[in-house]
Amino acid sequence: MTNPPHDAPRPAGEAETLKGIWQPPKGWRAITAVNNQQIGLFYAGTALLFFLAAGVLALLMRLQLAVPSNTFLDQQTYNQIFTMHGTVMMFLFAVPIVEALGVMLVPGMIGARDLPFPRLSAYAFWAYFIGGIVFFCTLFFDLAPNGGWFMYPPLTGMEHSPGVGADFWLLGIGFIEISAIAGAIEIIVGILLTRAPGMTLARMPVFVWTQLIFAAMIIFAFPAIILATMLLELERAFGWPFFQAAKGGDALLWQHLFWFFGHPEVYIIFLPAAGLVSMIVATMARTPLVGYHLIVVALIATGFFSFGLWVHHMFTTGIPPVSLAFFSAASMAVSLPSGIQVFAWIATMANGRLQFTAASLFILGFVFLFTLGGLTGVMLAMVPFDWQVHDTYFVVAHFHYVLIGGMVFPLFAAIYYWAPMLSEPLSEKLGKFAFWLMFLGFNGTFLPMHLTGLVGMPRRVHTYPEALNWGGLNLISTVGAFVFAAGVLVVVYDLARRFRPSLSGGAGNIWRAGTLEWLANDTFVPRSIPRVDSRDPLWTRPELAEEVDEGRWFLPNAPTGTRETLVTSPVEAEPRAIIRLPGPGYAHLIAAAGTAGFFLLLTVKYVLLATVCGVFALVAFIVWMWPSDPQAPPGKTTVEIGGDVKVPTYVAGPGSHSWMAIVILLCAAASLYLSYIFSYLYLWTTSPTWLPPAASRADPVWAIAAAVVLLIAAAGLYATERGARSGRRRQASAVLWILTSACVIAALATEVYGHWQTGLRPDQSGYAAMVYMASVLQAQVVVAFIIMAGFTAAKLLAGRLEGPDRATPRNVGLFGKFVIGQGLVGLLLVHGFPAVI
Amino acid sequence: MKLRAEHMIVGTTCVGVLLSGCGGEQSVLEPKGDGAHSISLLAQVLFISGAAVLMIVVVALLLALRGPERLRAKLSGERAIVAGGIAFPSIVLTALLTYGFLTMRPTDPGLAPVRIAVEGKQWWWRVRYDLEQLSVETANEIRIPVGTPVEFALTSADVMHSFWVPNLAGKIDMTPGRTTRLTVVAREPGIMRGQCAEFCGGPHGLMSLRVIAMLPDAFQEWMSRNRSRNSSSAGHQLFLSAGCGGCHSVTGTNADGRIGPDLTDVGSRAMLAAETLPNTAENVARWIASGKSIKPENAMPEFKNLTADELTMLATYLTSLK
Repeated sequence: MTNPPHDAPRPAGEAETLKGIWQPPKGWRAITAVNNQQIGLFYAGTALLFFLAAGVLALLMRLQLAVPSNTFLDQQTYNQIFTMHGTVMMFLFAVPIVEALGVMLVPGMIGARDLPFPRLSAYAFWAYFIGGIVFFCTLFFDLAPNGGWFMYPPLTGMEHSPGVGADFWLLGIGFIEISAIAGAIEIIVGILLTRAPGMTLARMPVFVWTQLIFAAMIIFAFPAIILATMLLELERAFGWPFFQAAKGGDALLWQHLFWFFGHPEVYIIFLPAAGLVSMIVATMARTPLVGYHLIVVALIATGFFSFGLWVHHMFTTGIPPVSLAFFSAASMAVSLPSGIQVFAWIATMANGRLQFTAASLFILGFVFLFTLGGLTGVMLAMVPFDWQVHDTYFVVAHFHYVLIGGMVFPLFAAIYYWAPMLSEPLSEKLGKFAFWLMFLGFNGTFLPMHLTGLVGMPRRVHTYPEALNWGGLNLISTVGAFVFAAGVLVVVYDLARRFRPSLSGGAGNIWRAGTLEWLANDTFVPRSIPRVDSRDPLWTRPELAEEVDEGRWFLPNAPTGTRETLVTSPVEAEPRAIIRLPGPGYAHLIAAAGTAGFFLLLTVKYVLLATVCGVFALVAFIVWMWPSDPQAPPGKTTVEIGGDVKVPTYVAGPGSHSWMAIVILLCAAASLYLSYIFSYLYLWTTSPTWLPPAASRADPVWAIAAAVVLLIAAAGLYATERGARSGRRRQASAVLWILTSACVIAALATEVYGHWQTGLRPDQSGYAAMVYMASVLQAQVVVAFIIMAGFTAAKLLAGRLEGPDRATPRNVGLFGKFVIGQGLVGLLLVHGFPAVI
Repeated sequence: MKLRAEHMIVGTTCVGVLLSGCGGEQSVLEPKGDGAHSISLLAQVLFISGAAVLMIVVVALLLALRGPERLRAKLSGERAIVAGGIAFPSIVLTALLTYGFLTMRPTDPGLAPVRIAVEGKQWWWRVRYDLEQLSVETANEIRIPVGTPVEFALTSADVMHSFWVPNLAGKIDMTPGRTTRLTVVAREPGIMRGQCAEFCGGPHGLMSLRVIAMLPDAFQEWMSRNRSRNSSSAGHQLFLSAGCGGCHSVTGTNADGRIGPDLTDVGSRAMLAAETLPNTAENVARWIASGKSIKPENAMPEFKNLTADELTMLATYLTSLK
């Protein structure tokens, strides 16, 4: 066991200086806050509001279905309400609350002072906040989408859904997904690079593991739905017939893309909740988690498996038996990792002694409900059984057991468990009372629904005739739903009465937990950053909390005079650098409002205003990024953080936080493009005449020309890179950036013109639309690249990139290579593939 | 302990209701076709094994909380996790999967099937029998022979629908531009209700159908009835002059519209508007005059211009088409 590097007491005034640097903005300026705890609170609070709002929608539906032939809601209203209930619960509550918990808890658990890109998470929050509120309010103007949260075309195409509701869904949700990806990048980089020294991957708290997997799954799953929304919006706005069978599209393409995102989505929501359970069970049973390694392997396995299950949402579409068998087996196999976790929690409870707190009750309720939901999930994985109960109330029952049981119950446990970290504890008495109301109400609602489905009631019907005898079961469900809602209200009341978050610490470690988020915390959580040598450091070294609070561990001060956090290596967590973090500001706020305005105004076809918002956002981004690549303060190129450990105060290139963020962003971009390649090939399989004859396709000369221009751009990038490394000739470098941008634009123009001059138009056929879609996706990254390249050139000319190896040119260069690579792959697909087939 | 008592009550009630066979005209639990039978058997196996697994987990949980020390020590090791979380489910799942695959295998019907094409439309079903000599079109009510395989060829004219008659077989989707097939064999005569199971917008909840399984002789007789209708009646003249023939067909007359359901034998159907209303003369009149308030968003215009007498005449005429 190593000892703390510093001796107490620390110099007078050090803690006060640190506090001053991390001072949160007060009053209305709180909206400029970027610190993870404040943003986490805003984020979680907003997500809970959406949970209540979408819950009210559920109650309205239950009222309508309470009795047969009810006329409380008409079909139009009912269709909007069930669409919004699912959409809001999934996109505005479940994913954001999980991300909010990550933003709020992860830095504390890994001993970081903040996330590595505080303004990015603040941006993600505000974009979600503005977009979410506007999206929800469409309900009050009868403009809400009504095609179901799954938005299957052709129902959601222009012909059958001419209103703007579907556009609100596509643009609003698409944009909130972008914000989710921003948050996910932040969380991955934070976890991999800012853990306390000694916190190897194998010592990470399970919740941190689940956040890492959750964020990685977002990076690979969300692009599929982003592509799907782009395709459908292009079809709606410009008639590109991706999903119209009569014109060489296919409605099932949407289902594949939607569920390729939609199934991982379920685990995206569930895995972090399981992580919460692993944390709470260990503390409440007062014993380290049994089977930590098995749990981590199970979590990773679930993450992988979840990408191979999507077809089990499509068992009734008439796909071939071989696929049915494969996806059936895979869907069953995914229950193994869940089984491992359930028995690991049971083992942990058996190993210790579970205290019956409110949080424990919610956990026990979770284990029961989640197991039941998992078992009905296994039933649904049996293809013939699914043929009967698919799209009936049996499925509604099943997924509410796994989503409410598997995610909402752990969330409420987490509220009772972590509230004392920031505030006075909540009332145990009210918490237990709320648990029983929720548990009984939940089972009252959803247990009978299994039967409702078996006796024939399909989902998404606004009414049913009396003769079918579904009235009794439905009435029980309605009563149950109100009991459940009463339980939720008790928690809301408890929160309103007792929850007073304070960034200078709450009641403290009242559960005597073993993980770092329970260190005495202040605005600068924590006072110093400890070296960790176990999974439950506060248990294995009881004096740790005091040492940390006395400032005896690493980085007890602010050597560069700004907000900082320690960067460590991704696997072994050895100190590598410190990064300087930004404080409160307006740029990210204006950028978020501008982006939201751009997407939302585009929905209602206010193109001019939307453009103005887009320009605002762009300017704000540039203002935001301009001070990046800061020079180290004089004499502070490296600083000592304690115990003779000296680390640099600026890093760039592979392994640095910004480089890693770009790599992750490019993974998301690559995933988007792979989804496109899948879509192209999928439509090709639908009909032997999908590809037009070679004579009517663009001459390969155009593709060769475009490829040559892209290769010239690559040479340009290579030259700028050499220039950047030597740090000389900045005018020449700036010119090279501009020329490279010009080349990628020229390549794109060549490709588009090559197809255009043959008379091919994107609204003619599914093939034509797919051909031009490659250029749409290319245009998207090209635009991003030319903004970045222009930005880099401007910084070069302004003399803000002095010295070798600055982050901006290296990261933009990496992005540029991706743009060129994607362009070449696109040419191969669009020109090469038809040529070899 | 409170926890367990609660579960047992709920559990017993549920199983009780299941065993008592709360069936119905549209229920998985009262199978009347080959497919529905084998799935119902599979469902019972699944429910029993599911209940058993749930009990095992609940008992393990209770033992972990309050059980004797010896058992708790056994449950607390990684070995218990491997046994309970990996070994046990692997065995159960492999067995279930094998059984499921066997159920999924299509059985060879042996006989030549009766072919029926069904097209889903917002919000009704176009039904066409393609028999050896004749092709007969009807809507929303399908008659099938008992004991003979029936092959449904399913497609959609507009959006996604799903063809589901739970007493007969599992469901299969109807997708524009594709034809999906479902082969069923009814085991006994009787009436079964089906319903669209894929959300198709607007009054999706009011898109149902009726399947009537008949003895083969009765089916043959019903199919070979003379379907040519007299076009000289006053009712039919009103039908034409009101414009009904623009959308609806009546075999043997000038009414040959293809937009709405074929009405040649509308009087013989039990229900109107895809199982929305009982088929009485009053309801027919109501439907013609104010169909949009009964089934909002449906394509049929409301004929407010017709007088009460004219409505009665039309309704009498239509209900006479048997």
